[in-house]
Amino acid sequence: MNNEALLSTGGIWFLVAYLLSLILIGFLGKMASKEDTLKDFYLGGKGFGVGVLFLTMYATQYSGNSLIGFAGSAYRNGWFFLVGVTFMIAIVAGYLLFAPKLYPISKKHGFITVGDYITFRYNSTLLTYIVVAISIFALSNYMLTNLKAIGYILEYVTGGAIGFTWGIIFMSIIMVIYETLGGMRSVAWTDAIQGILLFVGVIIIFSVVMIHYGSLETNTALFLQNQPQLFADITLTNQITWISILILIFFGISVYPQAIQRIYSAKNEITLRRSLSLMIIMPLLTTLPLVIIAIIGSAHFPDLDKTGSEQIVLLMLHKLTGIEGMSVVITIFVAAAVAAIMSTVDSAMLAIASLFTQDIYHKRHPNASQKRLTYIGKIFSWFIMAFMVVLAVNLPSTIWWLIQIKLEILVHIAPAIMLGVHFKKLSHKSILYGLIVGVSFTLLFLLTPLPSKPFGFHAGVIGLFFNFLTIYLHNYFKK
Amino acid sequence: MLKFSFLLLILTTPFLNSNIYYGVPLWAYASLGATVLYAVVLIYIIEKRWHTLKDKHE
Repeated sequence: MNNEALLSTGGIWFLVAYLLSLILIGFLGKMASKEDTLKDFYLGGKGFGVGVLFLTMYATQYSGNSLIGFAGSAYRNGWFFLVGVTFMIAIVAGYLLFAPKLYPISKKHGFITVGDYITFRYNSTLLTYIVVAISIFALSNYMLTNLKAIGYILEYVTGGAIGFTWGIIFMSIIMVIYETLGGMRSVAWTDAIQGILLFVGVIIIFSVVMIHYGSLETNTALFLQNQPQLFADITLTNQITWISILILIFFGISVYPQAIQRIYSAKNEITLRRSLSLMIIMPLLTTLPLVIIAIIGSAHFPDLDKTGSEQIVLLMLHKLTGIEGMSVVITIFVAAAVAAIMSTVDSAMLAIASLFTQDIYHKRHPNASQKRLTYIGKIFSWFIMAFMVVLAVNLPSTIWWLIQIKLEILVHIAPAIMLGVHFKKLSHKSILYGLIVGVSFTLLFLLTPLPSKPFGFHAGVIGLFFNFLTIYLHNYFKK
Repeated sequence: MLKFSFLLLILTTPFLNSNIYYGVPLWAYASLGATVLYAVVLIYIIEKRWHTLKDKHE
C-alpha cells in the first residue's frame, strides 16, 4: 500500500459531501413514502419512471468490479476481454426471455421478490426456499466482495488515513442508514446519482487517457514491444471460453434478484422498455472505454501482477498528477468507483432483506401486518449489514474461493424463471429435480479433482446443461 | 423466432486473424461489429416487437 494520499484535501471534502448527500436522499426517500407496506418500501410503490429506473438498473448492474475488475481483466487478457462488452449486452437479452411476460403478472399479483413469482407459479414451498437460499448466497457474495473492494479503495486513496476495516464500517453505516430510511426509493435515487457519477467518470477518464497517452493506433508499436501476447491469434480454447462466459452471464446475471425487483418496480411497460433499450447502449459507453483504457495502460505499465493490474486506471491517472486539474479527475474516478460499489451493495442488501422478510418471515407469520413486516425488514437490514462487515473483515482467504463461485450456482435458478413463464404445464418437480442435478454437477466439477472447466466450459455451464436436460427428460417421461 | 434471437450472440465469437489495423486486431472489429449489430436487433425487438414476447392471455 502507498503512504501517499491519492486524494487531495479538496477531493476528500468532495467525497464527504457526496456521502452526506446520500443520507439526505435517504430522508427525502422517507418523506416521499406513501404507506408503511413492503410494496412501498421494497419497490418504491412500483412507480419508477424511465430516468430513475434506467439509472438504478445501470448503477446496480455496473458494480465496483465493472470499474476496477474489468479494467484489470482487460489489462491481463487484452482484446479478448471485449467479451465484457458483449456479455453486458447479453444480460439485457436475458431479461427479454422473461421480463415481457413476468412484468404484467407481477403487476397483477403484486410481487415483491423473485420468491413471490416462484410461489405463484409452482406453489411449492421447498422450491421457493431453495431459490431464495441460492439467491441470498449469491447476493451475500456480491456484498462481501464489494465491501472488501471499498475498504481497499478508501485505504489506498487516503494513503492509509482511513484503514481497511474503518473504511468498510464507515461506508456500511451510511448505506444502511439511507436504505432503512427510504427503502427502494432512497436506494434508487442514490443509484441515480451514483449512475451519473459512474458514467461521467468513465467518459472523462477515457478522454484524459486518449489526450495524454494517445490513441490505440499511436500506441501500436509500444503494444508490440511490451505486450505482444495481447495480439496473439485466437485459439479454439479462446472461442470456447468466450461462448461459456456468454452463457454463464446470460443465464446468471439476468436473474439476479435485485434486477428482477427493478423490473417489478417499473411504473408501466413503456418505462421498462425504454430503460432496457438504454441499458443495451451502456456497455458501449462504459465497458468498451474501460477496456480500451486498460489496453493502452498495459502498453505503458507492463508486467503488473493481478492486484497491480486492477489498479491500472489509478496508476495511469497518478502518472499525470503534474498536469493541472488532474486531482479533479482522480477525485471523479474515486467517487465513481465508490458510487459503483455502493449502488451494488445497497441493492444487494435491500434484495436480501426483502427475500428474508417476504419469503421467509412472512410465510412463517402470515398474519403479520405490513407495518410489522416493514419493521422486521429494516431490523434485518442492520443485522445483515453487520454480519457482512464482520465477514468482509475477518473471512479467511482460504474459504474466499467458495463465495467466488456464486454465478455458477445462481445460474441454476434461471430455468425456474425463464421456462416457468413460457411453459405453463411445467411442474415444480421438473424444475426441482433439474435444479438439484444441475447444482450437483456444478459442485462435482468445482469440489473434486475433476477439471473445474470440463472441455473448456465453466462448471456452471455444464451443470446448467444437465439442469435443462433433467427438466426436459422428467417432463417428457411424466407425460 | 424473436425468443431465439439470443442465439445471435454466438456470431460475436472471435474467428478472424489478429492482423492489426489502426491498433486493433481484425477479429476484434468483427466481434465488436457483431455485438453492435446484436444491440440494434435487441433495441428493435424491445421497441417494436415487445408485444409478441408478451403472454396473449395477460
